[in-house]
Amino acid sequence: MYSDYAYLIVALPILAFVLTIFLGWHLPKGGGFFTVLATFAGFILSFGILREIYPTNIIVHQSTHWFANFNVGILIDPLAIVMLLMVTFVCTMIHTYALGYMDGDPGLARYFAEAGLFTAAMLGLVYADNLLQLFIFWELVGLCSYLLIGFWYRKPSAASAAKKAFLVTRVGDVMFLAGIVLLYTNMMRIGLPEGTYVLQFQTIYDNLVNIPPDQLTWIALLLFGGAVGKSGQFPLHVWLPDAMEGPTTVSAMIHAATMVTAGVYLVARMFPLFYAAPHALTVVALIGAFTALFAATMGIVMFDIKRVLAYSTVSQLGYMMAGLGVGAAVGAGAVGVGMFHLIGHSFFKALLFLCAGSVIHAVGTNDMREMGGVLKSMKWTSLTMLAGSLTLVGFPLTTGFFSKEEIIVKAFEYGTLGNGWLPYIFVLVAVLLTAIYTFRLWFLTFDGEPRSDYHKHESPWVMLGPLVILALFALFMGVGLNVGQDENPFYTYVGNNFDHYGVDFEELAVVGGHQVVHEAEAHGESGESHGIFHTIIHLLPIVFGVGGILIAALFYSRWKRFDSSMITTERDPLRHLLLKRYYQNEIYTLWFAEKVVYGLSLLFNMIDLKVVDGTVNKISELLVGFGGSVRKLQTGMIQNYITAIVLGLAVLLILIQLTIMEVAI
Amino acid sequence: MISNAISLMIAIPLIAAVVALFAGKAAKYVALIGSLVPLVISLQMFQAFENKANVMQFVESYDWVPSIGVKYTVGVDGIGLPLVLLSTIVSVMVVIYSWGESKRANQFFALLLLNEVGILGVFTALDFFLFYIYWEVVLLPMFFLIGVWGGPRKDYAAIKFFIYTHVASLIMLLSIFALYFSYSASTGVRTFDMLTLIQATGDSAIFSPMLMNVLFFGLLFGFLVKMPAVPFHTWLPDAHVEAPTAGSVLLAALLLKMGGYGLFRIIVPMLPNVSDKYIILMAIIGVVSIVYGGFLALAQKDLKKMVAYSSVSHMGFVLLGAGAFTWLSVQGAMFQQFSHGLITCVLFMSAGTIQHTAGTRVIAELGGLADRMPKFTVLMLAGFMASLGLPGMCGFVAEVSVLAGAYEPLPIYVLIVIFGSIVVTAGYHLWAMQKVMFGPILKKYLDLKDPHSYELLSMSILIVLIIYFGVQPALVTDIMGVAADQVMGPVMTLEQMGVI
Amino acid sequence: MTLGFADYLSLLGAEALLTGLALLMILVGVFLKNKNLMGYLSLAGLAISVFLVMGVDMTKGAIFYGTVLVDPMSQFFKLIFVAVSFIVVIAGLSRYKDHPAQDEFYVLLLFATVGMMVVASAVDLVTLFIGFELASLSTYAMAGFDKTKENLEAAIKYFIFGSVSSAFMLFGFSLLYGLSGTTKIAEIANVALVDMGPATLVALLFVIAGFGFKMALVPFHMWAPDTYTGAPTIVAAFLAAGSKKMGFVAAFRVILVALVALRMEWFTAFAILVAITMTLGNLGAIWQNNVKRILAYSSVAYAGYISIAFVVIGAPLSEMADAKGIPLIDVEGIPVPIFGLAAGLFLILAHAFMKTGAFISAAVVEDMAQKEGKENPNDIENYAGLGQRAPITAFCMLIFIFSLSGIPITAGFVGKFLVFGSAVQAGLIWLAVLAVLNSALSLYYYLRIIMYMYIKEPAGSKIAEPKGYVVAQLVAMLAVIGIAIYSETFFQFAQRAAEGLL
Repeated sequence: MYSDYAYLIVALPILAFVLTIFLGWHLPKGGGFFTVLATFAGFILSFGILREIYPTNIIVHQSTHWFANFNVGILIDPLAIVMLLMVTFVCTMIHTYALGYMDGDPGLARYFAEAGLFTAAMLGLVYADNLLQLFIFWELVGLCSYLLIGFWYRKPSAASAAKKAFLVTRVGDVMFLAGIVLLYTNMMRIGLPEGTYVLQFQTIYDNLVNIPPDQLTWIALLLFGGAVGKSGQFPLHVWLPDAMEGPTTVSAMIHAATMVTAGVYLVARMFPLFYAAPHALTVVALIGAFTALFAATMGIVMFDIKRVLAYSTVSQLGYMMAGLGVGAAVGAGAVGVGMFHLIGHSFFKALLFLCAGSVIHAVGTNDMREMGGVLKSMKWTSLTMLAGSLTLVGFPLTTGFFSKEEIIVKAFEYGTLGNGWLPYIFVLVAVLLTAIYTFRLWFLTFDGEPRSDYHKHESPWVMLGPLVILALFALFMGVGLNVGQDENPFYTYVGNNFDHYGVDFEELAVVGGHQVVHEAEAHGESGESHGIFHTIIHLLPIVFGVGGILIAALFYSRWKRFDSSMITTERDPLRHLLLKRYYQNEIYTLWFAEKVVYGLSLLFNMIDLKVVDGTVNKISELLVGFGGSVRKLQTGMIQNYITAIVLGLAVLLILIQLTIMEVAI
Repeated sequence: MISNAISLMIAIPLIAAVVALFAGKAAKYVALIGSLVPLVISLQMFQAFENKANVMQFVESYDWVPSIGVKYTVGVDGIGLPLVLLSTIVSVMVVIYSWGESKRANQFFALLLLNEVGILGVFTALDFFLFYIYWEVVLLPMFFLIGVWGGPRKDYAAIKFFIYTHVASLIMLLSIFALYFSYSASTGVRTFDMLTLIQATGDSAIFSPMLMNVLFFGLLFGFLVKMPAVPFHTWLPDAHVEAPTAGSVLLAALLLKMGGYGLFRIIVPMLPNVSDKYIILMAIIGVVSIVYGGFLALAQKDLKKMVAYSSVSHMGFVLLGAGAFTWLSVQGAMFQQFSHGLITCVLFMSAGTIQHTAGTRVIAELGGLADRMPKFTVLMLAGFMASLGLPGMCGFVAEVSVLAGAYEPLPIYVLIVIFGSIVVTAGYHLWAMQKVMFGPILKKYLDLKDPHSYELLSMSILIVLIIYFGVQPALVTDIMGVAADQVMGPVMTLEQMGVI
Repeated sequence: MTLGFADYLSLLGAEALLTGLALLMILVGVFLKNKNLMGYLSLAGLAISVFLVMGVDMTKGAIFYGTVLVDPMSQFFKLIFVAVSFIVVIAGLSRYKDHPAQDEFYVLLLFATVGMMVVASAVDLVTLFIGFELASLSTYAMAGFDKTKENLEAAIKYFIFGSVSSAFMLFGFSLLYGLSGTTKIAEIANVALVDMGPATLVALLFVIAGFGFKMALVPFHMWAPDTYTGAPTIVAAFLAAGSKKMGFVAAFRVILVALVALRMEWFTAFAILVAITMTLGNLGAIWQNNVKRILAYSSVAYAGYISIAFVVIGAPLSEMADAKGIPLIDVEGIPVPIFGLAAGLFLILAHAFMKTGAFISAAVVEDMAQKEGKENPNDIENYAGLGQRAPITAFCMLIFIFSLSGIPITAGFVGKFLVFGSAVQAGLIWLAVLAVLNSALSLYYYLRIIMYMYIKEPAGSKIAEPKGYVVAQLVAMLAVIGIAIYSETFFQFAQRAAEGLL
């Protein structure tokens, strides 16, 4: 019966949005509790729905006509339900936290209104039953992101960061849209019966086999382009660090836990399509793995606590992409893997951001160089942060450990199956870097002595409460799901998501033209055959992780033995490259946007004024000028006039003669 | 349902215009009533309209100049009705927005009403003679609106607007003659009946290929200038920059739609009878307009001029959709007409409000207005988002339909260009938004405040409509879908429809 | 059948009435102190003669030994002439109120009108010439009526030109007579003139020159701007609207018949003449600041538009046209030439009213400016803010200008619509395009006047608009709009006239 009220999951936050925006100004806390309650109600509903559909293979599907041959509908399958639970839960936490964190801001009502709108949009995205609807909410979360990044719109940096975020993601979105258009066209070419809703996922899954492979590859790549934009993958990740201009709660909610994972969700949702287009999937794997490494490198040098986390987010999203990407080799199971890391990450990254927020709240700065020794004054924050950091690094038995470990192993299998080792290498090295920057952050912030005189106080419980809860999840969810059962139920449940649609991966593999590999075989390849090797593979990430922590400790903790100046100097080019973030800002903004595009527009403008409009004006000038000369004929002297008549007659006579001859001939 | 609904709908503003002229101070009330009644009537018609019926409805037909076959014939179908609705809505909104107009108010409101008369006439006339009359009548109020209430270079702008578009109309007129005489010469029936003549274009016995081409381009030219499509667009920026806000709104929201209406009513049905090469040709012109307009908008220093060029860009979608000649694209193009009509109102109203509150429209000189005008900022932002094609608002629905429909017949690179320009579109909207509204407020604007309530009212109503039709496009797209089938199939005459 | 005196009277009642009235007025005028009565008298006469003109039975055929023909054509033009004089007289009531010699003005006006009416009916060269001269001589006098310097200059120019062109015309007539041995137009047409090509050409050329002068066709137009500007404005109205049309009716009667007879291949030459006329007329007007000059040039341009009718008639009649296979007969039974001619007639009708009106509006401004002591009272500057200063005049002027520039829904629009249409029908696309472009070009100077009237700030305070002028303008305006709305009736009339002629 819960599933009958599924629409409320989106409707309630929208209601909250309307209420807060109109009434919020007159209510305490800007009417934030509307948003909190609405989101929590969404969680309850989602949980109820989970109880109804798990573990049976029922899926909730409601659909109605929208316009032309498009529909709107609700689709709740394993993939969607886990996202719903995650989003509603994390958002509830964050909204609650915001009640404390944002308290006293003049725009409080606006904040909660926009937050509510975002929640609605995100949930709508999750349980859309067709690609177009997904895109619509995809854009709406983009809008909310724009609004919330620019929440403090009086700050120029915030305003421009918001614009940048919107535009860069827009690039991705446009590719996404192009993908949809291409898909639509191909679906139409198939010639579906009247009244089928072309972009419904069911319809798409059913007809994948009828679409020519090359088209499939293009579609997949374009869709992935959208994911790249949204999930801050290389090369469109530039907006995400800047997005930290928004309130920390926003960063936690949108730019860590929920919205940025939408790209991953999209790939997971369209996995059958990608599976049928292995080349696209290879691209996904490479981009994902590379991003994981690439972002991590920049995370190491940042001093803004939120930026470090931002890069870590980018890097982790890279992991998820990689996890899905290797699916070409390891089959639909990849979805489970990628999604599991997504869920886990949402918890601990939200946690980390909120902790950072709590610190910033107290210290009043983002710059880690002015922090230090926060541990003394903010026990709870520090410990929860530690929990988050450990699981981010993938310390054994934390949630992050299970999820990341799985991805790395899959990447290894991917290599063993002869699809290239790059992804594996990238993600593995990234583990080391992750550990380093994470604990560099932790030590710099909480350890050592205060490097500036900030007023030291712990945050209120309305903020600490969510931290603790999230910390518990971050630490123990993995254990809860993995220990004591041979196969992580999450993998099986989500991994088999597409069985509900009768997607036949064998068939798709044929379309894609690659070998299907069953989980077992894959394990066989890499696992039991040479067990010791297998163990090493499983141990390596742990070694790297712990090693990273130690390095960080040696450089930044109270037991520090080395100083960063020993390995790098001020004018070390590599250091500069990293600090300058590989000069992307210069290339994208200063050169491409402002020089190329704007220059082009100026050129067009000149053409328009000089050539296009110029001709029009020239013509009129010509005529008017001619009129001037005509006027001169009118001298006012009769004799001239008479002459004109005589001449005229003569000319006329000649003309007539000519025409007559012409006829005669 | 009222009989003679259409004539009534056209007559009332006309009478109201005359009354308003002599009403002095009370003119605005007259105008409000005179524009509300047609709105009610058009809503009535919208209610009574049979969606699925592929025929002209509410048809009235009387002889006028029988000896040359001129009749007074009006009626609406899926092409006309949404635009009629749009016209009546926008007219009311404009009256509300201009509630504070004090300069020669009686003439001002009279002209607004007169404009409505002409526009409604164009969208309902089914006789070329009548059509042309309304087509020309529309020029007059706009000419005066620009000329009397316009900016510094109003003389230039008004005359340029009038002559440029008038030339186009005359060229169109010649093509109409050619249609008329070739038809009467070979069938012996003198008629200006649109549907009959358009249908006849399918008969190669009447229209030799050569003649058809000449005809086609003559008509097309007339409509392209009105739309306006690149390179015939240069009258538009000048007109907009000089025109008063109300004028710009009417110009962009309604007058441009006449061109699009012409496309669907006349050009698209003719397309199959001439050459399908022109499908690509039109689509290309459309694409050029989209991209070129977008880039030009980016280059503008004046907010209003930017909006003006964005209109060029958006009307390009109409041309593209019509040219692409697939069911979805044509329907999308029709909806683009409707949605752009609503959206552009908000944009021009925003520009106008900024003009008269801040005293300038130069983007570089503005900044941080959001600080003092929160309500207005929300509306303006909503308008801009709608204009850059944000889902949930009607612009998105239209553009997606056009793009999805237009991919099939078009070469891929064309699409790539468009998708590129969509980013540019987002670019200039956001850029302007950031420069004008956000950031720290400039000293000189510290004493600004939200504009008059009537301006906010009209804008918010439009925003609501934009979102409403963005969420419920089917309300009009269903009608348009039928109409799309109709214009792409062979045309039916009124007789065949059995309505007269 | 032989007709009795009564029949003659009934057929030519209007002419008789007006002539009698004029003579009477001369007599009475000598004795009367206050001569304002005269205006009303002639007004009544003209009013009655409208009915007389419309009332006659147009089937009786030629009378006076086949020299005078009462047919739709003649009545159509007579109606125009009478109506125009009617409007001019109304205006005159204000213009020449308490003027010592106003009776002379009305008398001259009536005689001119009668002269034109004679021309309209004349189917014999001699009769035609007499009517012509009667009209011309009276108008010469009228042109100089105010005896100001400009008046006299205008009158002189007009007179000299008039004499020259009369000479041309007379010479042309004599040649025709010499070639055909008759002065009856119909018989001239029947005589096979084709054999004597060159001579005929010369004859017709001279005739054209004679009529072209009145029609103000290029290159015989040059007097028009000067005279229209110099003459009293309402006289200019009469010239532009009235005597100009006399040229056309004469041309229709003579040239057309001759053309039909000759199956003139040289309509192309005429087409070129027409094209030049339109273009020069419009281009000439663009630079003018003197509104009367603008109107003068626009009426030159209109001479061009109207003359398209000749070309349209000539085109299909010529072998070239036949070769091109342009439909000579439109199945509904209206031959292309008839449609063309009817269109031309309709435009003439429309132009008569709108030009009269426009000139009278100009007269209002002129008087106003003279009172204010401006040195060139017709300068466009004086029209600044007329919308506020003289609302009625401004509005009427607006309508007339819209009509002149062919904006719906006015007589001018319908007229142009028909004429351009007929050009397209006759396959003269290039001419139609040129005409259309010209029409667009003309907007440039028409819009300028509107700009001044409604957009520029007023140059002075609100004025009292003279009643006569106001009434005259209103009548003209109603006519302009009425003709458009009831175009069916008038087009029918024009069509009957055309059928009668061809």
